[in-house]
Amino acid sequence: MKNVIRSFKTITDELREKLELTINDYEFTYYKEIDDEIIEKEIFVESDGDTQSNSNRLMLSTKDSDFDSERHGFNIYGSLNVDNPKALFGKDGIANESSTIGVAISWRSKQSKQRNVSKVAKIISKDQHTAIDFFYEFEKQTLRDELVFEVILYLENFADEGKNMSYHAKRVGTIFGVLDSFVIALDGTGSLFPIVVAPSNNDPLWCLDMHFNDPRTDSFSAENICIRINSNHENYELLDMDKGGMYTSVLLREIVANAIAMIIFHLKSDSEIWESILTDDFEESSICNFVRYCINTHHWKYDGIAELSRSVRKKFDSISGGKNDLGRIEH
Amino acid sequence: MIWEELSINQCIEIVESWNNQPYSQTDGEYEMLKRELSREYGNLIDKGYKGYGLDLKFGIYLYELLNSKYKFDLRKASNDGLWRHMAVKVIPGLICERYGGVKHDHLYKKAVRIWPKTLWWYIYLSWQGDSKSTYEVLKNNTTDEILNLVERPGQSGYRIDLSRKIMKKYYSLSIDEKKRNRNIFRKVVKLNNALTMTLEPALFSGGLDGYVDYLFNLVLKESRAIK
Repeated sequence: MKNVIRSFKTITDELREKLELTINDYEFTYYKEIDDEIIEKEIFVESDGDTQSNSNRLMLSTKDSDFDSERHGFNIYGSLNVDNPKALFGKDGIANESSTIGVAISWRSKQSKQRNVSKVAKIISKDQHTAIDFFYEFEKQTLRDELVFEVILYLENFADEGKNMSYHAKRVGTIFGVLDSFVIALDGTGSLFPIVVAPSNNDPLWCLDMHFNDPRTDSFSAENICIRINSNHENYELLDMDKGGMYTSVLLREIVANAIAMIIFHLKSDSEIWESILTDDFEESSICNFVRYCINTHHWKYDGIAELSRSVRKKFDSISGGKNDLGRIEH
Repeated sequence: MIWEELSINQCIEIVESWNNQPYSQTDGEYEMLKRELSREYGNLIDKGYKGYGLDLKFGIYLYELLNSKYKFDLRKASNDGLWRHMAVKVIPGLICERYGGVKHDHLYKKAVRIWPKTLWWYIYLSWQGDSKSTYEVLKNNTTDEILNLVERPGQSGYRIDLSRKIMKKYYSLSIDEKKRNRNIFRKVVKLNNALTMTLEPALFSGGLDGYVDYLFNLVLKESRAIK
């Protein structure tokens, strides 16, 4: 994805602060049928930060419920507040005083190959305060893996003021940017690396399979890149895959750490690709996106393969099971 | 129905084992599915369908059969492993016949080119409410339209309602208009992908209908100007 140059003003961190935006925790529910009655039940959510607002990733958990992404859809309740909506309008804002700014939710899932939007609220310059409350239903059996969920601002109505600022968008439907954005992971508690278990007569205990054509667009998923564990191998038992595998298997953690170091080093050896990673020139959920996430979240050394491998494994040593899932395993 | 998946590696092994003589490996409900698809394919060939005409007729049959009888759904349709299994284990013979040989891209190698998957998504993205209307809207197209619609999803997924309206609008262009501007559909898709970087069609003036009119006007105006 090439960086888009916009000829109009968009939402910046600075503007978000001026808006006095507060975001309440999102709530998730699903519909369950009990005795011919449909009941709405809460879904427990895990996040990759200590609080929801510090997180980029919310994972729908099967804890305390029989929520099953294979069978159930899910619902999201959101509540945001803008206490200084005036900051959006006028000379320093993104739209002129007479225009209307719309709030919508926008979601997209590369793995599910779909995206959609839904209007939620409107803001005009006279507003003292904007309450954004919404409820959105995701139908069952339509989505897989994960989706990006955003609360966006767009131009709902343009009012010509005669002398308009050139940097104010005029086309209705133009997207100004996001008030909030995060990933909702549906299947499992979020994965760090795709792992596939399959029997083989020739292979070693594990291999890193790379089938991608372009890491900037190809998704970070098993069909493009995965650790393939050979269940026929004599040392397979040492992995403890069946015993709640990820948290207890030291050997598996070593494998994942090595695989991560390998893919990072592989991409680094292509200067064009590495440049794309550093300039955020890649598609969401792509392999480059994953490497970028690693770079942003951890401070590993990339000078040489040995140093990189050491940094990754050191990091993994500090992940002692429980909070961070290392991978979703497919058999 | 227990749906099975194949990884790319597994497909490579299976296709290699054919020694250029593809054969299916099915049991249970998959055996039934194979028979139904093979029978329909055979019928269409006997009636003289080939190329795009065959793709369209077979595609609509596959779409309706999978969805109604086999309880297929969108979540499964985005699972490439599932399509690879269908291509390589259930109907490899049909695919090789359609493409005149063992073509890896259409069997498993290129995610957007696995034949049954391409057909299902082409129909789904063009669906007009029922198979008859859908057939009507798509009957004048070619394999180019399939390629441009399915292989150019743009950023992070298809906008399904938009895609269906684009197909309907495209159908409404006169045959002359389309012929005169050979690559009009490709231009529409490409322009749409460019516009949606900063603009959301459903939020446009007049909603999706307003956007589709706007999109086509831009493409047609440019094409006329060139002439």
